[in-house]
Amino acid sequence: MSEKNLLEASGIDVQDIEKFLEGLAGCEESFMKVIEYCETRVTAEEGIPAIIGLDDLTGGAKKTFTPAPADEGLGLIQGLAALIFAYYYDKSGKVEDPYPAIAPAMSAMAEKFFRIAPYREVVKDFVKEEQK
Amino acid sequence: MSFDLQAFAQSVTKDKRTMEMFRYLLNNSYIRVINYHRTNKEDIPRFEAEIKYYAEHFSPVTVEDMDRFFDTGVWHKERPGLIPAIFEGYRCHYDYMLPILDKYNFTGWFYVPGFFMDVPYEEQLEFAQSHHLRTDIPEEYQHDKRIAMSWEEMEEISRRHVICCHTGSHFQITKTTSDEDMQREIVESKRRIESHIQKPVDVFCWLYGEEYSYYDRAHKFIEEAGYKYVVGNLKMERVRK
Repeated sequence: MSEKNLLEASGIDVQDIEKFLEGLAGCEESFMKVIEYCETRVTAEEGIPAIIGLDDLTGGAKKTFTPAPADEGLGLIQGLAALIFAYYYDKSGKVEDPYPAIAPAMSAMAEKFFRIAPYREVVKDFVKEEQK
Repeated sequence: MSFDLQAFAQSVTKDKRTMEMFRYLLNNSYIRVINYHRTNKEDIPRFEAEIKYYAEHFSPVTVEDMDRFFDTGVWHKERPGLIPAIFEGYRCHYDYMLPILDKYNFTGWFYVPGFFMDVPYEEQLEFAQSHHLRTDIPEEYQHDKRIAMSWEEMEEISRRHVICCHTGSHFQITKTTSDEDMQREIVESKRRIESHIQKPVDVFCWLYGEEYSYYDRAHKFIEEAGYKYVVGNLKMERVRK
């Protein structure tokens, strides 16, 4: 049985998956915009957002965490975004050894998902007010 | 236009850290950080706007909050946690960033190289330049040439914020670093800071985002020093309860 037939037999609509993948392809420009923005940051002088993983090396059993209410459901979306950023970084050839593409990808993902877009506006407005 | 799924799959499975990070995010096993280095006087309005915004949308994070998150697996505050991480132990952190953090009641994590404060003022710029720290003296510090925070300033910061060790001399520890250097940069630097702030330093941070778990030999020094957390640019590892 072909992969397509297998999916159909399982009740999954192949067209939905194809639409999802086409949607991803359509997102390349917006992801690349974030990557380009990240390259303009002055890391020595600006607040640079990051999202870092938590690993318990003491043998703690907790692997799955319950986030704050505002973060519920965000983990999967952020995770997928991190993978896509890593792919585009890798593809762009902008990543230098020994750092893996996921390192700048996590930073780009944090920039996009830190609710930084509205935050940038808030900061700009605040600075304007202060300078009046 | 189509998405090259095969190339995507090959790319993201090339380095094991990629899927590892995906797993952390999927499991909500993450914390937000905002990294600061130089906090220049002219940028005070921007920093204040940022911290004000963070204080409105996120919760401050203490070491005890992290302990609880790891122990229970549940983030116990209404808003997500966020750590302003302030690197290098600069005087401008005390002068400009601390008042802002205090004003908005937001906890900063100050990552300091433990031997920087002992360098005589006139030699601090040279030390900074040769240890991948800042390369200039801001105008307002020209009169005495001091660019590192003082021990008194660090002690004051430690009363309301978290002091973390960022090696002793801003030293990159690698797989070939000698035991003697590891002892000095991981263990002695912690002791030096603790002797001045009179409280335990629980957090160690590598330079350039290296990760503890890849450095087997560093394990014994991290343990000997008694750190609870080791931080890199991809993850925070709890190494002791």
